[in-house]
Amino acid sequence: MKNFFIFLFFFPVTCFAELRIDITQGNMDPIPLAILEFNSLDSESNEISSNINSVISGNLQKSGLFSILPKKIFFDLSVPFDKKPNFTDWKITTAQGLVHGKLNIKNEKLNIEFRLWDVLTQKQMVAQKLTTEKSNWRRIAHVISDIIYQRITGETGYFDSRIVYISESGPKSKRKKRLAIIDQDGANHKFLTDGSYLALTPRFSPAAQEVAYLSYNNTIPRIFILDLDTGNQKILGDFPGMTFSPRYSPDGKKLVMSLARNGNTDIYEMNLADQKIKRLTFYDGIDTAPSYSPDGDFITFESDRSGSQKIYIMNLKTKKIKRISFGKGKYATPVWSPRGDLIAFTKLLGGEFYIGVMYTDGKGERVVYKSYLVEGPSWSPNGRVIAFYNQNKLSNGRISDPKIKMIDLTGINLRELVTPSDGSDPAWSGLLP
Amino acid sequence: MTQGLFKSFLLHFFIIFLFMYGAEIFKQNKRFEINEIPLEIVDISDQTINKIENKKAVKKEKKEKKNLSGFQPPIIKSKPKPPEFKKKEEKKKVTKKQNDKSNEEKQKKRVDSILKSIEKIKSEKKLTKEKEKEKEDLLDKKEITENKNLKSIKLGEKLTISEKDAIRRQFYRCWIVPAGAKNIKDYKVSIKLKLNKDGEVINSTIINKSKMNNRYFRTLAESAVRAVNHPDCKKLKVPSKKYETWKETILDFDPSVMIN
Repeated sequence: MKNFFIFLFFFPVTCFAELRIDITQGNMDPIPLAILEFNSLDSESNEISSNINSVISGNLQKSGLFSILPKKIFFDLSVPFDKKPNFTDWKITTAQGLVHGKLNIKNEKLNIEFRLWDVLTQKQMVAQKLTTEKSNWRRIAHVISDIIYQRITGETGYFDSRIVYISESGPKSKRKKRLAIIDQDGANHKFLTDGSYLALTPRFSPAAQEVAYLSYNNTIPRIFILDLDTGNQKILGDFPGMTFSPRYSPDGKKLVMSLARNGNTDIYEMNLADQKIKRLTFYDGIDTAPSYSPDGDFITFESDRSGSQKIYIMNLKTKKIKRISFGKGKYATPVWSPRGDLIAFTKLLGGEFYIGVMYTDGKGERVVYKSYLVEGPSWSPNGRVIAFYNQNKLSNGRISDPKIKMIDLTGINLRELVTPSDGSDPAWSGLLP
Repeated sequence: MTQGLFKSFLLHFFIIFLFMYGAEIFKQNKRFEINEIPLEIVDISDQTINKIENKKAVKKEKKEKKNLSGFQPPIIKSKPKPPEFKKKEEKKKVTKKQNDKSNEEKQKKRVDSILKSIEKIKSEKKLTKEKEKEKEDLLDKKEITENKNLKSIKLGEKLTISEKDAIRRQFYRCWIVPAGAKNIKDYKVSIKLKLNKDGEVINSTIINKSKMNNRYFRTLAESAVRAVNHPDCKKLKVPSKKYETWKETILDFDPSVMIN
């Protein structure tokens, strides 16, 4: 009997043991995608289809996660919408994903249907129908890009979003700093202020309809709130001291900022409905650059309370403060990722600036980019890309003009956001409503 | 006085007896002392052992062959070429005929004896060759039987570390890791493959499918499925002799090593 149980215990292991291999190394190459122009019947539709194709291709290519295959290697330049593609042909092109669809215009309305196929498994990954105004073709292209991105990567996209930044022009002694807005792909640039007064540290509201920024008018710092739809501005109270870096809470009902009073800078929270201010930190030194966690329960900020600039987090319910950065150098401008898992920061060490990320418990710190000067990190709405501005030391010893750059959080795919003039202090919006 | 001495003697004797008895106990204890030796059990494939054993066997065979060949140096190393030898003899005959006709008979006898000896040598050679052939045949037969035995051993045998590494290297090209996705290092996807005898993937199924509702897990799972369907990984680099071992294989795609 005892032997029988022993036999039963070992029988499944010995008779049905399968070969098991752990695959721990892969590559980080971009996924090859084939994107066909959507089938259309008339010349106007053809033109829009071509434009949409180039916007989608540009978005996905610039993300660094996809490589868009050139059309010259395709066997077919169009696939009937209601037929399965010939996957053996598409496999030859090395494509792993295929996008095709159809487009028509009816009563000035744009109707688009598209499909995304997994070429290797020969399965449909997504199929959607979208309708919008004809003039909205660019936004619909961004929306389609987001759908494709989300389906393949599992993360929400960031293509249908905008960036507000400080546009800089003129000589350094008399620099003109204007508030400007631009699509994340560099299209639809627009100035929001005329440059008659200095604008600094703009921040989007979570609904992406308002921008809060700091303005120095007649040397008095004030927080302005600009409504992007109407263009109306309002001043958010007069504060007795200096005010720095306002930032919205995730629900858009509060602002957190630092105020300098009697030589002491602390963090305050303002309720936007009644404009009442609540002090959050009580320390004799400098506490500044606060940023909310996506759930609104915590803030992260920089403080010199340990003798040097380091990053801290505060539980807003218990008011408990915990230091999370312990590395060498001065840490500054921490920004909580919209995904909630990481905090981006700048760091000064050995005469160089770094943009880095760490987990919210301070572990896993890693450098994403380093240069002579890098400042103002801002997360894309999906927490995947970091925008910042950068100045380099030129060979003649001079410092280059500030430019806005974007980089994937893995530290790859650095690219510049092309703006009409120099740019600094970028702030990324959420996905547009 | 004598009583005191007697008591002292008894006491000393008792103490010595106790010590000796105690010492005996210590000795016995020492006998049962267990010295723990730390052992690490390492799972090593039989293939590598077989290879070593095979190599040893081959070396032994070579040594034996060398020893055998040591007895027949002229047979193997310097094979006399009969036609050339004959020609030389003929030449010698011609010269000898021309030079000394009287010694023809003697010469004939000598030549006959040489020819006889050559024939003898030839016959000896033939014999040794036949013996060699017989030996070689025996060895071949042995090898065949050994191979047959090996094949029977190889059924169900494990893949060696290098064979597994070859598969891992293959997937390095095919698996595009969704690096940077949230908490991706916390997920692991297991895919069961059914393979034909050529190593081609016939069927692939995700084992831990229940987690597919999680979008990050699904992304990782889909990347793994794309990898096993990739043209460069559709046919695995596996040793055909061990089909029974790898006909059903589970691949565990684990990005944690890469991400950390």
